[in-house]
Amino acid sequence: MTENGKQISSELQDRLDDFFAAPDDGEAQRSTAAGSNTKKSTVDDMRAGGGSDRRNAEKSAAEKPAASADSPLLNLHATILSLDWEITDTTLNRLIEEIDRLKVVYQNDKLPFMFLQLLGSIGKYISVKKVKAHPDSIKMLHSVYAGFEKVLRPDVSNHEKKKILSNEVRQFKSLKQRIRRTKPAPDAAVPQADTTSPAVPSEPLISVPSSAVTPPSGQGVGPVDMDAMLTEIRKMIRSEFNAFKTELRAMLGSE
Amino acid sequence: MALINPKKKEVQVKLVYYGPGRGGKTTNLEYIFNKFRKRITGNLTTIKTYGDRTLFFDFMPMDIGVIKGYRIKMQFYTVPGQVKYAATRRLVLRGVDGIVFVADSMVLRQKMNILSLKDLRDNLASFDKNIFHVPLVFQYNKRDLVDEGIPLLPENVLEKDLNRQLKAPSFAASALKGDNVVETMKKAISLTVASIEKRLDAKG
Repeated sequence: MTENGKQISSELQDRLDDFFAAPDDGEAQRSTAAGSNTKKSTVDDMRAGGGSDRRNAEKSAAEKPAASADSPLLNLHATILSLDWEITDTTLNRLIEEIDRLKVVYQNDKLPFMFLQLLGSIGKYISVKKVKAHPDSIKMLHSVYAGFEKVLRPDVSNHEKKKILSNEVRQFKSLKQRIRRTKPAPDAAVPQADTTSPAVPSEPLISVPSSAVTPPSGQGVGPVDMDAMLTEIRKMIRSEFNAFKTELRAMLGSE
Repeated sequence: MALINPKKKEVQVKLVYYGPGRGGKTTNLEYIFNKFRKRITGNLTTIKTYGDRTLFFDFMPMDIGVIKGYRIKMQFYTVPGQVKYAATRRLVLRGVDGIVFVADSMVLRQKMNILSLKDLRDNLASFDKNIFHVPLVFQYNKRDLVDEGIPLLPENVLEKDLNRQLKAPSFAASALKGDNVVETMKKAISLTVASIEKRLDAKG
């Protein structure tokens, strides 16, 4: 392939410089406007209509945190981010500890306190189930956290704050229902609203009409999710098994 | 090993983006694809699952043109970072010519960077490849999070954790913003093509 290594390196460098030269403005704009034509098979998009909204909430929690360097939420935010992909006892304990610490900070502020209760409930559920936790529980954690950050902003009205909380409570109840549907055993760990703290009033601060919590007819997600999950697990096992077979064949072939 | 087709005068080079889950491997390829899409003839193919995680791998072909009469075709892959997809990661590494290790700069992910690098070393060893002899570039990603108050590992700590012995080229980067994404890829291509050339020269 080569006669002169140095020449090739320099030619390659030139070629790469040309290739990666900044695209002209028109080209860049067209690229942005066109959006990605990436061939994506986003399984959760296909399964759950409106899933992108939740992912956006997750993204905003994960990538655009309002928690500044001196924010009391800094540690909580970092812990929630780390839970996103590594679920260990240490991280979960850190999460629970951080929530408990913040509960003391916000004990006289009902709305943030309710958010912390929700976070605590989801956190405890994940700590019991770990990697077997419902896939949506981590998303829920991000979503509640994003809501928590919002209600702490001074520019958000009280009405808006209550709406955010109401929405998160509804989502939380919906998640609980989905978990129950996927569980055969009645004593399975389902996140329960944390009402152990004496500072918490026995009644919900904001009443959520039961009709608002019930998914619209025809949108029952439990069995659909279960089937989809099973299909996916089967696919994954098949793929991993095929990968092993291919490797084994290759190894035997090369011996 | 790169696939060389003397008849077609074509060289296919395989470059894999490796690293812990959620580190930004796919974001690297997406940035390049979106920015230079007019020059990239193929598509970025990515298969995702729950929560936007890469399940199998991403794949992006890129033709960088003819050099010394040979058409150089790059093939970029990412691996799924999650621990449970070990076999898929190993499979993607088969026949790899060069690697970009995308490390997550967040303090909380320090341990996972190290574990992922060990995983890479072990997987390469299963193909009788020594990590010291494979062209490798480190990318310390997510440096932009410092603006948002997220605690990040200083670059010298990342160097000490990951690159103390390997002494590979490294870049502080933000795949989301595009900082040093192109530089990382250029360096990886240069190193990899140079390594292939060296091996071919050695074979005579």
